[in-house]
Amino acid sequence: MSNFVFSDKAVDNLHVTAGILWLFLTILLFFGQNMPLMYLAFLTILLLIIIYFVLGTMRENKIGFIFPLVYPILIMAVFWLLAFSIAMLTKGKVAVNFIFGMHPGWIAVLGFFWLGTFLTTTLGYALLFDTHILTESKWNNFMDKVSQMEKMN
Amino acid sequence: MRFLTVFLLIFIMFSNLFSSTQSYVQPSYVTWIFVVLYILISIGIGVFSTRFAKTPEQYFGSTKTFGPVTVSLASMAAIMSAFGFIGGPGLVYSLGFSSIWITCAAGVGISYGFWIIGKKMRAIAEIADVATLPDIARVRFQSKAVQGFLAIGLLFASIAFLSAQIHGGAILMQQMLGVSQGVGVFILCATVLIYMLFGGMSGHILTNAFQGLIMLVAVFVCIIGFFQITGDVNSLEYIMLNYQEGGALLGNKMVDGFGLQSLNQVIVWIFIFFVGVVTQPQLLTKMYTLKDPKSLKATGIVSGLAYGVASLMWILVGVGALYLVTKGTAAPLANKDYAAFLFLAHLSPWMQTFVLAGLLAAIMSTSDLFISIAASAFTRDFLGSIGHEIAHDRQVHYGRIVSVGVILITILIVKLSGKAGTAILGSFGFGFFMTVNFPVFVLGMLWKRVSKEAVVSGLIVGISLNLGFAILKFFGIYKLPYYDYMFALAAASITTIFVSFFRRKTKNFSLPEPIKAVLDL
Repeated sequence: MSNFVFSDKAVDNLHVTAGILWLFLTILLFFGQNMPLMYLAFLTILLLIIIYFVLGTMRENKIGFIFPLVYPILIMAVFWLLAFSIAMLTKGKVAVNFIFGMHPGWIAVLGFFWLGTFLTTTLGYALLFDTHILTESKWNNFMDKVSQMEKMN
Repeated sequence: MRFLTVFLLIFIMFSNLFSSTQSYVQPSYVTWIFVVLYILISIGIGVFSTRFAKTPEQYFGSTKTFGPVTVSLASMAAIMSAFGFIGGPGLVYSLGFSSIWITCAAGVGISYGFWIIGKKMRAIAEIADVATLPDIARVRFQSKAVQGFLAIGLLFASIAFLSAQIHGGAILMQQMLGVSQGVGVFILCATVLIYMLFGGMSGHILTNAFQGLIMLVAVFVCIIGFFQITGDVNSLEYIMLNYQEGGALLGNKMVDGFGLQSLNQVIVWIFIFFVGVVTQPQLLTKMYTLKDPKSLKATGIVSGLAYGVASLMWILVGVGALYLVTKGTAAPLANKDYAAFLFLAHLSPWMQTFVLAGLLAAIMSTSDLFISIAASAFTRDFLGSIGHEIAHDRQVHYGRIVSVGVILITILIVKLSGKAGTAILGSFGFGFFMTVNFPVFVLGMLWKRVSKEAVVSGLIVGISLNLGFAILKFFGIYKLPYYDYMFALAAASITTIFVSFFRRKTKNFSLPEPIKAVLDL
């Protein structure tokens, strides 16, 4: 299972799902004081981000299973879940003598959210650019194709 | 020269609208010399860049012109604005670590954005002569209506974001040079106008690369200054155990993972600044200014890294100010926008000068871009879309006149916006850009099915809601329990998605072959 192939209908469905999630999010955000609903709101934005990540990385409706679906997309999602969950569980608590005097919630944001996303999305972009994002042959094919067409206005 | 004379005359009429506030930093000769040198170098770069701005396309767009290092530094400098360098520390000071999510999300969001739409934005420059974002929208959707509505949205959003720069710039110049806020804003705007009038978008990119370097030096100085002020690495624990407001111990809430901001607002920030960073013109325009498409790789990484380093200023300066107040070394601030200057007041004059120069660079590098975008949106795109196209050889001339007008309108808005701080104006501008650019450039590039009717509907909904909520809030009639721009963005996206989905399906959605080739890339 090296590639997932999406039909045009599946791509449409992903976009419509995103539309429904957008709607769900606008409603959830009205309940700013309710912690479980805010966790649900966080899961909603995470799903939206994953959907657009998948749609943006697929080429001709195909996406690789290990690269880039598992790494970086799903691993990034795990880091986000860890960061937000720890920050929520430790919210408002006093934590003395922790690493460099930092609060565990803040460590989670820095370590899992920022560093985790950096190690997946940013580093993944660097590692996979030439093989999965814009290969030389893909760009050359594109240039060949457009060189035979008239420039648009 | 005529533009500057008119600008000066009208500006004098507005300048007394500003009121003076407390000074934290003592201006020195060193700072003045540094500022004069800095301004001269910026103008020099602007004059030099005229060689890249001979046609309207080059003046407004600099399409396929620069390499990855220049573009990366320029991107970072343009994104890290007064919002980041003055508003950011202010948010940390007033809300604790809530806003850390913003700066953490935006840095890594850059590579996410480059990943999902970077190559398509660059590729579109190969199939048509494009200079501006509405140009690209017109080519993608084959519609002047899309171009026109996007131009209107960009015009409003640019003025909103620019108002944050003018607001922050007024405070900065007053603190830095000891002049009135009106005079300070005049020096700032006149400098930006001079180098933009010469070089247009090329002037913006080259001066921004220089300003990006200045900002990185300022961050380095801030790191040293932070440890000088706090003495050790346990300053956060000190704040956690001792910070009080009105007799109540709040330290543990300030430095935890969410700070004092409500959770729904933090969630909005995470989303808006991770996904939204790519919808900011500072990045979108850079994608097609790259000469070589392979440079997308280096630009996506270096911009994110540079932004990550610059973010340290947001965090360290804010925490430093909070530490000083917690310790009782400084009195609590009445206005959170002064947090950065409270921190600076405790550094040596040389260190102050370097950091102040970094703040000036952050403000100028963002202001010039939005002046350019607003001018091109009106002169080239909006007028063109309604059939009043300005002759090719006159576009640059009228663009310069509009630039002056945009600054004056923005100054008036800053005055009208009253107590809204730099961060609030900045995040409103950021959200407004996302509202108009997300349906066009993210949905439009990722889904062939998105039609011009859908995008126009989305744009109308997004612009109307952003402006409508701002007016309702201004008059105290209604305020949403979370940021208006999130609601406007969601409504614009939902409209675009469902209008696209329910339209009649035609073969390949009637896309021209070159567009299909771009979307398949």
